Amino acid sequence: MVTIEKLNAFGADTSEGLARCYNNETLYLRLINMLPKEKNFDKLQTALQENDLDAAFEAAHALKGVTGNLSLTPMYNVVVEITEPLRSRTQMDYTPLITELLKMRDEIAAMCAE
Amino acid sequence: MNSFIQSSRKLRKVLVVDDEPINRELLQAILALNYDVDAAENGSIAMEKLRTAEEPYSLILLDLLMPQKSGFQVLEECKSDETLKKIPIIVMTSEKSAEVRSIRLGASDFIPKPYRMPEVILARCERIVELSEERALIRSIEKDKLTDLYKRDFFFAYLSRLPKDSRTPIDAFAVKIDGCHHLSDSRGTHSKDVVIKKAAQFLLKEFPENRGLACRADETVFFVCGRHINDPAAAFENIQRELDALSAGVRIRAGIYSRVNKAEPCELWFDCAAAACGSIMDNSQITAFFK
Repeated sequence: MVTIEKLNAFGADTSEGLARCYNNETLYLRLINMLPKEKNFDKLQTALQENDLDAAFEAAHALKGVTGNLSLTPMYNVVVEITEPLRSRTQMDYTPLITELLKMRDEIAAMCAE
Repeated sequence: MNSFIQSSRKLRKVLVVDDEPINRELLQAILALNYDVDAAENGSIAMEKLRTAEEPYSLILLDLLMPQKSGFQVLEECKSDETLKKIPIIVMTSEKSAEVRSIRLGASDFIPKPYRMPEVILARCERIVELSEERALIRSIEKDKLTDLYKRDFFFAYLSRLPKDSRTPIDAFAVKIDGCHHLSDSRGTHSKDVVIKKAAQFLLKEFPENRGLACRADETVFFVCGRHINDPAAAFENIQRELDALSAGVRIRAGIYSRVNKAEPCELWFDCAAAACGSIMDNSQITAFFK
């Protein structure tokens, strides 16, 4: 199961994330456990594959809010790298970034499943 | 607000609107300390809850970027609804450009994403709800219930805020409705009230809110303050025609203090206008106060 220590090792800013949850560890970890089921990861991947940059921006923007609120800093940083060019609908190869993002999602999912 | 009242009241209702389950859960947990929190996962469900709520919500926290119905659409719909527009809305966004647009559309405040610390969110919510409730309380007592014109005290309080150095010329009218009392004698107070209410409506038609301010100064006396007009007599002739159609024998007369001296207290303007009104002995509708 996911723990504060594992999240720290991942690079999350858990003290900030906990502060946002009134230092309620149970709440914070419950929210982290919701992340693997977050639909916008797949939505972002599909949208990029279909070159639907409007839908991709919507999904990326939503993930930016969520990963930011959970202080999952490494993930948040990658999402920002995806979101900003999508804001202006920039055509570029997003593959490395989305691959990295999904790898991190899977890492969090694995922590939650342990 | 008085702390006795505050501690005695039940929890106020807040609606969180966000398509992201994690954001909804987080905000609900933060707000549950002080509020009875409800949530909607999209704009359509939010509007349904708002329209069918048995008890009105005190606050809406609204995500802007949502699929199908965006937060902007919800904001616009709420602000164009007579009942819902009174509920303050705090928008949640990470977009700087969206902050300005949402404030212009009527949002009371914004909470950036990622969220600030919960204490900051709670303090902002509390402040916005308090301001909104104070405004609602003032709105409920500032107007005369029969005519929907301002009460005298509020009228003068608002007028005193007019800048003294403004170059816009202003007229002050004291308007008297005569002939109502015989209605009360013969047909009961209800008929008199109907005429007074209608007279106020006719007055507001000639002097709408964007041109002036009006109050019910006394039972059958109104004060109006507005931008100078060259032919005020025409406005009162119109009102008289409407009153004639409503009830025979009811007459309107007005005293005007044209292009008031803004250095004088505003109460004095209406003393002068009332003196002019009181001096009308013949059938004329309007007379001016001369200095």
